[in-house]
Amino acid sequence: MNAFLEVRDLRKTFGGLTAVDDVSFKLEKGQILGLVGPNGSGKSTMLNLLSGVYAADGGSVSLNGRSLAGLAPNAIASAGLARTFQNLQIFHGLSVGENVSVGRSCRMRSSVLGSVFGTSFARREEADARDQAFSLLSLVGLERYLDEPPSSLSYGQRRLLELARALASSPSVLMLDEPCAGLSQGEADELAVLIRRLGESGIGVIVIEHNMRFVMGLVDHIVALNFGRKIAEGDPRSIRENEAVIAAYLGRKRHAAH
Amino acid sequence: MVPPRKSARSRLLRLIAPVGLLAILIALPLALKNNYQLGIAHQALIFIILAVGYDVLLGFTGLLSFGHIGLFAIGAYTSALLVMSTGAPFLIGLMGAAVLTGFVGFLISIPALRIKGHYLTLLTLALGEVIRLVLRSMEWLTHGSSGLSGIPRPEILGFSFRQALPLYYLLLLFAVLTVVFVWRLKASRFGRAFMAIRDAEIGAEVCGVNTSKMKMMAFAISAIIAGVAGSLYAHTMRFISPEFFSLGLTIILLAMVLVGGRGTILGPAIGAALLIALPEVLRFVKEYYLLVFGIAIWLCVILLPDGLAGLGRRLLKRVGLAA
Amino acid sequence: MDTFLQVTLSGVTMGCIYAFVALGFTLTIAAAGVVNFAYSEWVTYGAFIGVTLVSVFGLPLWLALLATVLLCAVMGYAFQWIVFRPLEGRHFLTTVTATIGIAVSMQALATLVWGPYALTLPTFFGSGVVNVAGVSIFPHNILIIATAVVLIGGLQLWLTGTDIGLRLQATAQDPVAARLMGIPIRHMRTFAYCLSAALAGLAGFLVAPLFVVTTTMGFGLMLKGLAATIVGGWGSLKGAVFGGLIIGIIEALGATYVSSEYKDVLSFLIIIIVLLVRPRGLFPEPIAEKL
Repeated sequence: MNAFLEVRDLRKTFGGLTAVDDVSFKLEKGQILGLVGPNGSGKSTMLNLLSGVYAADGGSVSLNGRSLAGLAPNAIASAGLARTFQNLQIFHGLSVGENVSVGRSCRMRSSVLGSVFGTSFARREEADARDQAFSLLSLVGLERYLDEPPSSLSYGQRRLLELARALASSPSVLMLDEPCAGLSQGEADELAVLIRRLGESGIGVIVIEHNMRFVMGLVDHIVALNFGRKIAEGDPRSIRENEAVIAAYLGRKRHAAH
Repeated sequence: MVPPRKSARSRLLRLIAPVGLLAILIALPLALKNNYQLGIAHQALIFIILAVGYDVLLGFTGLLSFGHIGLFAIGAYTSALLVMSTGAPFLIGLMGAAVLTGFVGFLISIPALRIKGHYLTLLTLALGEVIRLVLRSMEWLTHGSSGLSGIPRPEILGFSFRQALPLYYLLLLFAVLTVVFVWRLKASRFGRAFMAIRDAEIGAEVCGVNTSKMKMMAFAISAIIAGVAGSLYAHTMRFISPEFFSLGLTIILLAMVLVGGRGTILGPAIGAALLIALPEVLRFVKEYYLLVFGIAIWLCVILLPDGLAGLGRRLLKRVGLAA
Repeated sequence: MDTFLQVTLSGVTMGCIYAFVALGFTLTIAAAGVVNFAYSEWVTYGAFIGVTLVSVFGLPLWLALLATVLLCAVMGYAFQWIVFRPLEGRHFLTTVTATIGIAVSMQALATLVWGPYALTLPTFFGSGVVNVAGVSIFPHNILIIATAVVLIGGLQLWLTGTDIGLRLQATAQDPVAARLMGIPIRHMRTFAYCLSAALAGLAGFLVAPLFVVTTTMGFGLMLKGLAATIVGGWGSLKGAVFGGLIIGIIEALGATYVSSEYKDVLSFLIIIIVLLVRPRGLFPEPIAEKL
């Protein structure tokens, strides 16, 4: 069993609507997986289920053999799953660097009294957090905004900030919700390079993206959803030619082959 | 790569304001003419402590509690009763107030985990009033509406703070300690966690912030500070009654934080000092004071969402003295 | 048994007043998302304006009632431009604090204009009691209940039966969709503000003869109204009415059979219990969630 993240028969219903319908897939260490499908196919719900924002109604998720069922989002983050948001969850009252440091919350151990009285442990932890924030921001090209408010960032830069923040917890699995939105073509290309490097360093990455060119050139493996069900799975080339996937996106019915 | 260190010069500049303020406060009694004015200063310092603590809940964590005065009352009565009925020294009364009030604050935080937004505000409003009415009805303990009188001034290790001047410096010490504590808290991972919860709670959760634990901590910390302020109030004014801890006082406390600037450290302190001192300064227009006060709150909330501290920071930025 | 009926009837009477207050308070929440904590002062002003019209201008009571309601509606209209429009869409804390500030000013103004002493407003029917099925009741109370039935029944019919009523409901439930459908949101909201203020004036005028008219009377009534909105469901018009009646009856029964000292605590305890057990009240409204 070398599957890193294993999703089995995951299910979520809202009232009468089944948003995710018995979906299974595996993510290997260092693999980059694309989760694709038209609007409403259940991709975002999937991400919310994996990160613990929603509770699943059935199925299981395990990371390195350890079940993530029923865990609160912060416990899941602690276990090594980090994510970004399509609609941005930026902390506007904190500086850019402080935003990144919040991502490190589950790895920090100093106590209240320790922080307030400035014990050497607490001070070192703070200094390390600041150093890490700076280097992560450098990774996405935002290091000069370390002490600036997030309002001085463009929309695309804020999405990169979320990425840096997600990396602050040193995750094993990183889940990106529409990371390209708001980025120029050049920025998207740089992001692809960055994601590749993350994969090479051993982090498993799940990417939800509409931008098919970005996805096709980047991912190793694709899982395609429609109406909450997995309709196809495979490498980018075979998915591109998969009839079910084409039909889902174009909404056209094809005659059954004779 | 190493992050830029904030330059020594800018660090020094940023200390000017608080240190200057402290110097003024230390020298203040020299400018005041009589014990009555010192008494106003006493009240201002106590409310500085209360308001700064309240802002940890309201400004930092975004939890709109309208029952904070109930906690203030519990602190006052606990300390007064401990000292007066058991003969315990002032510090024991203070610690007892801090612990009990902190505990009640912790209890209140439990429903606050489920109940959000305006429902939480209304719940805490009702809880605050119930606390006050319960205190009023427990006549055998609290003397009900007649209140508790004859509460002794603080005495620490044989040194008596009965005189107005030494008491002023004792209260100033507590105020400074509170401000420093909250300042250190804000710069720590806990302060960041509180503000993350305020700004984007779901985002905070997926970053690994244990939002339930942090909310309870915010409630407990602000309650402990309220308990300390309550104890100091009881032993300074020497008389407390349920009528004082009313909804009207809740509104004043809220105004102190909002006018001063929520989410900042000095903002609530400025708001507290202003709202205690101003009615005294404007005493000659007493009937019109409330009228102007109400309108001022309305305008301040609409026009200055960051309060006076925010205004101050924007002005200092123009002049180039702030980041 | 007589006492029980008596008490229940007086509870229903106060319940009708609380229903007016809760309804008026909820109207601005439902139509514009504005939590108007100055509502208590509108009620107070309704009573004071009524007193002035009767004592100073010598108007007959019926005319004074009508004039008070109209003047309050005008006040609601004025408030829309000065106070409420800048507050629409703002955070809950902002609108609450801003309107509390206005309330404080209004109360201070009332003290300046009408003096610190209590005033009185006579009833329409003198001070005699009437005997209905063995229960003594003040005719004024019958008037209150009758007004409530007519007004609330009429409002219900109007909201569900007429075009304008349906448009108002649409505005409350989804302003964006309503606007896209061509419904003039601004007119709907103006109407809601005026109606809200008119209800406040009515409540103040009708409740005044039961007690005395003071500058703090509105505040006490609004706390009950607040409890009613929580019991009934925040933002729900139906809930406001039922909540008001429930609070009125529980309060009357509690005061008689449990203890009259703890009457004040009762409303707050009800608020706490409802929020802990079923925060969204009896008739949860989806509009409320946008807060």
